[in-house]
Amino acid sequence: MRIVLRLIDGYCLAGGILAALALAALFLIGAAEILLRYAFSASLPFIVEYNGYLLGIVFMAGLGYVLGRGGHIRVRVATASLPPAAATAVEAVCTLLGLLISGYLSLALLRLALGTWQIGTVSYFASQTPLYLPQGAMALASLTLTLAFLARLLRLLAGQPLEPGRPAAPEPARRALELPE
Amino acid sequence: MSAILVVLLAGAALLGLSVWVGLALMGVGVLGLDIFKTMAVQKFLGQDVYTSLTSPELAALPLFILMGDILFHTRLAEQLFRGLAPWTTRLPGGLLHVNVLGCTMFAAASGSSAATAATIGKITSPELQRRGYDRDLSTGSLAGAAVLGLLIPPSLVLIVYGVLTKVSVLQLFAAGIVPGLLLAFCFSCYIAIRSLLARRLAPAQPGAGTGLWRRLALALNLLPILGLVVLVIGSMYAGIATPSEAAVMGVAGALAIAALQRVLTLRLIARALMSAVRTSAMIGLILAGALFLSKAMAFLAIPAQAAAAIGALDLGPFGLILVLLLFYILLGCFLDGTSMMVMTLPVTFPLVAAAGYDPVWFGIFLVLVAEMGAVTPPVGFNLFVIQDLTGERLSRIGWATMPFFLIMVAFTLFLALFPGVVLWLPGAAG
Repeated sequence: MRIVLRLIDGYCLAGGILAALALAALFLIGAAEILLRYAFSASLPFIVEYNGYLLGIVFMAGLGYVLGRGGHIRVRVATASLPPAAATAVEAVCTLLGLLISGYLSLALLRLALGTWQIGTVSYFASQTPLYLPQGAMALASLTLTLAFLARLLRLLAGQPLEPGRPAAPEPARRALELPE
Repeated sequence: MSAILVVLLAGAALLGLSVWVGLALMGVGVLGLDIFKTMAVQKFLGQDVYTSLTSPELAALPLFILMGDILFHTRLAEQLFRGLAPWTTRLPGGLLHVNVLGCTMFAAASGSSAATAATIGKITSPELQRRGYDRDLSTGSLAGAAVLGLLIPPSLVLIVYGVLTKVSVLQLFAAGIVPGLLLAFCFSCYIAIRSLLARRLAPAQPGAGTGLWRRLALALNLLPILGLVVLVIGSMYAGIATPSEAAVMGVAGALAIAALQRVLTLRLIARALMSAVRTSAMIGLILAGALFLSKAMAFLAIPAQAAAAIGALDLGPFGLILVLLLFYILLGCFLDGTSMMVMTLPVTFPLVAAAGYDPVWFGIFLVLVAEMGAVTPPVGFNLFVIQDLTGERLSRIGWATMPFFLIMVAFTLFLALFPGVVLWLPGAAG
């Protein structure tokens, strides 16, 4: 089981890093477009299309990594002060439901990509990118969340800490930036 | 009505159990469609999530988050304090106004109120405590003023609102400026009045009378942030940049500030990127779930039925806004602003539009109620930030923020009576 958890954690961390690289690319391509427009009145024709793909990766590839750090929002008003046994039961139900829904989503994206691949649909931009490529990437990205839930379930069963990536004592700064708006 | 009942019950059950918000919304949508419609639900979900999260107009979201994360690691907030403090010492309330002014200025370079509270509070709260200012008034004014982070553009909530309702983000950003400045003025007036009534709240500062030249010299500290504001907001209103491009320039500006302050390292960039990814993934999951649920609800004709039910109450436009205000304040005690907004919009947006309110106006209304949620316990994210900064009890911070919360409620009602305050600038900007 240690190996499985390690593999999943590694996959999720890789997803998080990929999302960070995609965000950096989003900035660099945007900056290049602005510079080209003012310096040479030129434009990067693929920018709108690729911005979309990169954005999908930014949003999705980090999903599992963020779950492992306790970064996704939940409403804990009703469940915050349960006795330990009940809290564990609630956590188990939540984790199972999370696994179920995220698994359903991953399967949905995977089937979308497979369908596109079989028909051979390409994007309506000039690049004519085969759409199964970005769709497949999104499916693999969403898989980080499903696998992270699987790891969470395994940890719950083994009685291990559920969010090993969570900063032990978050400095105020860290925590604030991870807060939602 | 049965579809409404199922959606409501399933939603309450999943959220109450503390299932992750984005997944709970998605699950409710899948369940509702599966029970009441004969359609390929999974195919629809895959297509919808893919299309939602790859729509290029959302690009401004992670980029503005990244800008804030870079700025957090710079000394911008210290500079703000040094530049602003000498101008406030003669006002009743003294340095407390730095909370308000600092948040107002930083808001123009930040899309989030929690990040504004953290960045400004990190500097002001130890300074105010050291100089013997009243603790409640200083924490309350910080929590209140941080609200401006969302009202004054750029604003993450307004980007999300714009994408959900197809309202121009540019117009929404323009609409936030005047109410933001007015609200800041209201907060400052309150601080001044309280300090005049009870002198001990804001002790007189030694060496308060800094000369004009000295103050002007110190004001040079404000140049970096002013430059950033011109770059980000100016470029949008000069019509030379879309919100996404303005966000790109904002990131470039933040990097330039970090470079000028000699703190720009690969380590800083990596930390800022990872932290931006965490926030983006968190918002992304909620967006994916909420966008899917809103389409599912449309298929189930829930917005129309709810609108008919509420229409039958015959509230009148102002009555409707009052009811919505109460509803959102209540909801905001338990939910974060983004989730609350995206969950309810499919129903409330058509209602408000039918009552004759401008969609741009409603965006500003929603920002205000979302921010009220951020300062009301038990779940109020700005309060959590300040708790981390000061170590005070949550209930005490909540009470300290109460006057500022009431000012926001009164201000929202004022905007409902005089929508022109919101709509004037976007109208003028075209």
